[in-house]
Amino acid sequence: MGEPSRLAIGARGLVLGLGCLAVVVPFWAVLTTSIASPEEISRAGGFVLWTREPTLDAYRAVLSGGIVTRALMVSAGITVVGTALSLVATITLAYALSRPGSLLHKPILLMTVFTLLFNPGIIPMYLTVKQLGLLDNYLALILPVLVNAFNVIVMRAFFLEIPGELLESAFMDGAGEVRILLRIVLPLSKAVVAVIGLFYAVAYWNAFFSAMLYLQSPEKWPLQLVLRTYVVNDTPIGSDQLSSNLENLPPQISVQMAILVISILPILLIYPFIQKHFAKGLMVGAVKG
Amino acid sequence: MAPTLSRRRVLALGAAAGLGPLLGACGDGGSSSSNGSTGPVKLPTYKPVTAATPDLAAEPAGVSPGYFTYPTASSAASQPVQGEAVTALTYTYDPIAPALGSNPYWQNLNDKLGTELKITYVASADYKSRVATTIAGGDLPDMVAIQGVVQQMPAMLKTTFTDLTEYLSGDAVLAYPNLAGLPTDAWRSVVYDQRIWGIPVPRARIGTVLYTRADLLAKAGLSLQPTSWDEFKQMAAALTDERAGRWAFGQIPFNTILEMNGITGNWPGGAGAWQAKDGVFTHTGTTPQFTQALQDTVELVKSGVIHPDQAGAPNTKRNQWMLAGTTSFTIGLYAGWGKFYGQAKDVPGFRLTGMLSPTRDGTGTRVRTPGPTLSSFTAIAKTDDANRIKQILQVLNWLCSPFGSSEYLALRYGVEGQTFNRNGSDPTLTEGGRSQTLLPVRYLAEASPVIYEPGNRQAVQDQYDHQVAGVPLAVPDPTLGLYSETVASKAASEQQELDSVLLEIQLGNKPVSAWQPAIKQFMDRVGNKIKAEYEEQAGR
Repeated sequence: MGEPSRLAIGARGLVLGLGCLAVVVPFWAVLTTSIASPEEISRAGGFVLWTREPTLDAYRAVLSGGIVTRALMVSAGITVVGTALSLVATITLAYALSRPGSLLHKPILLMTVFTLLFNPGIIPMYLTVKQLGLLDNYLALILPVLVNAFNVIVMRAFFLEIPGELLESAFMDGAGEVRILLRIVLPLSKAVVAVIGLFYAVAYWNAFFSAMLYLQSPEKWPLQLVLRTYVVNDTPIGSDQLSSNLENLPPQISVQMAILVISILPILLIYPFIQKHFAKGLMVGAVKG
Repeated sequence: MAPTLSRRRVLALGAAAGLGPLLGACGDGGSSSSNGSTGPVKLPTYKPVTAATPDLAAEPAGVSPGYFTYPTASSAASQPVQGEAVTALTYTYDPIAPALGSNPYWQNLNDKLGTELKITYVASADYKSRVATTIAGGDLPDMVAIQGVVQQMPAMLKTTFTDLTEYLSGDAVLAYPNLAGLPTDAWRSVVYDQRIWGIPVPRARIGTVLYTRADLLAKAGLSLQPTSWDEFKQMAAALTDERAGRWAFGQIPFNTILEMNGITGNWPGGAGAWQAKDGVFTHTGTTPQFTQALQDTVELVKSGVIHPDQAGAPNTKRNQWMLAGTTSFTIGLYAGWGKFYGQAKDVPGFRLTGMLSPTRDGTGTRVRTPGPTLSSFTAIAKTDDANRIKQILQVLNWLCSPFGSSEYLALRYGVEGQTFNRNGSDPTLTEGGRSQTLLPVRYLAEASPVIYEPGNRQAVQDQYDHQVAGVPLAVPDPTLGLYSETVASKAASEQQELDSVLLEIQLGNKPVSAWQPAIKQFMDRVGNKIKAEYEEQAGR
């Protein structure tokens, strides 16, 4: 293959550029709409691509009163604690299932796979949470979803890839299973741990439904559930809404876009740090699921 | 890959909807048929309450009173309620309010009420699953807002909630004067099996409004009230200028066209589609007038007077079109009327009116589909403790205090100088007050609606005029207070199918002749059964 011609490079650039634009423009529109002035929005009748009079009113409206900031802390806490617990549980389970001859290997694997296929309905889940006395407790958002079967399978597949000789030699040198896991398997599995960690983190971050069911007091709500009350009632006038308390808020669309920005920002910030592991980690799941 | 597998959860919601039969099975059977011996329940006696003389009187019946300004002096309309805290579960259409600890409005409310009110709430969209799980879990709060009709509704109510008939039926309600001020039609919707199950959150009878940008029509030299189908079409054409990006409508005004052809019904959904004559129920979809309305609709859509992006546009978008003058009309429930003024504060000359549906040829009687009588009703968890029931009813009575009373001020505006200030006599919420008053107390119980737009006399007059003109045209809904198990359990999917055929016809993708087989299939599968159920109940 020789050097590509200038034309070919230009064409590739154009295609890639258009591809990037298709991704970037919606984000840009969300951002500018969230800071555009009411006049511009009403002139455009919706999304705004350029704003001359940027205003942070929408953010001020959402963040005032401290409800959203509090919910942000709650969400961050649940995400960090939940992801850590989930990773510990998933890694240990996946490691045990990847070792031949571990206790009750087959039944446990089957049970894990079973949950992948069959999910309890919301009412059995609710009753279980209630029996455990976890209603109105943050643990209710973590324990029922602590281990995800799909993630266990992906991780187990990754662990199975690690050459058995390596583990065997460590064993010969007197290392126990825990030591092997911590010193040999985990350092070799950074990619998959990063990816699975991100899966868990995003899921904890985005979860609102369990919070809606299990948390009685609105002051305990995580961010997504709080923000949902701003966005979900997409038909303020078609529906049975009487309240006129919101009439001095910025236009609904900029509030919604501000909310979008607030809710995706933290995940967007984490993403670049994990991205380098991402392709590799995903491939494992793809070829050996 | 999310641990919550949301798609399955959605499926599981279907299971939640099936909860009713389970509950019914553990109760005493409770079928939807009558108890026979008890006879029709006596509805609560209606005795209007007012704390301030309205500027525009509530006449004829069903019209809301109008107030140009807020009364300066407010007097108490109820006694404070003693006793232990009362818990409640309800829904909201608003963002959440600050918690009790940092919410002076709520603290003041508890103070004035005399009883601590502990409210739990979720967004309206999630409310059904929350109620289903709460009922299944068996730990009900004292009061639960009930939205819509679920399968086996009478049995569910019987096993889970308190029968309030002896406390509210007939003159018994007079012990709670503010509850006696709730309209009779709203009470009809809380009766199942001839028992009273809750307190309605009443709504204005005027129903769905064809919101009209009166300023745009005036500028185009058009009448605010066309008198025939021909004039209606001419008006629509005059308001449309595709090159300038202007259209008359933001959605297909199908319900208006139905009314123009002399029949009722809110489509999609088909609410109010049943009409009755001499005990015989007819689904208006089966009438020749409906087919005529379809033809008219196709004609209107073809003439290009409807915004090309209308299909699938959310209501927020349609409202935005109207506010921006891209369209001259939007269609929505009356309850939202007051919202437009806040959103249109930057629109010069903005004036909003409601348009009535003329008759097709300009003669004869005009008709109107009345709106839902209530938003939801509040039931009391099952208990035999009569004193507790009375205390909870007192709390609800307090929450229904009328416009102009000091309780109303505490309920809507909070503390003067802290959550609201006076502008003249009109209370204006402070920034803190605005978020604190989002506490959805009003979705537990509230007085009958009034028309009040602070500092906007024209707005009050326009809403009042529309009610005065429209309410007397309303054709009473014969199914009000009747319960059809088929509607609650099986009709939804059939209705959806019907709605999709309707939409295809309206958009011109299917011929008008496709309607007959569709409505016949609907009638064969569920319609005739619904008809029989209604006729049986109405007959006794």
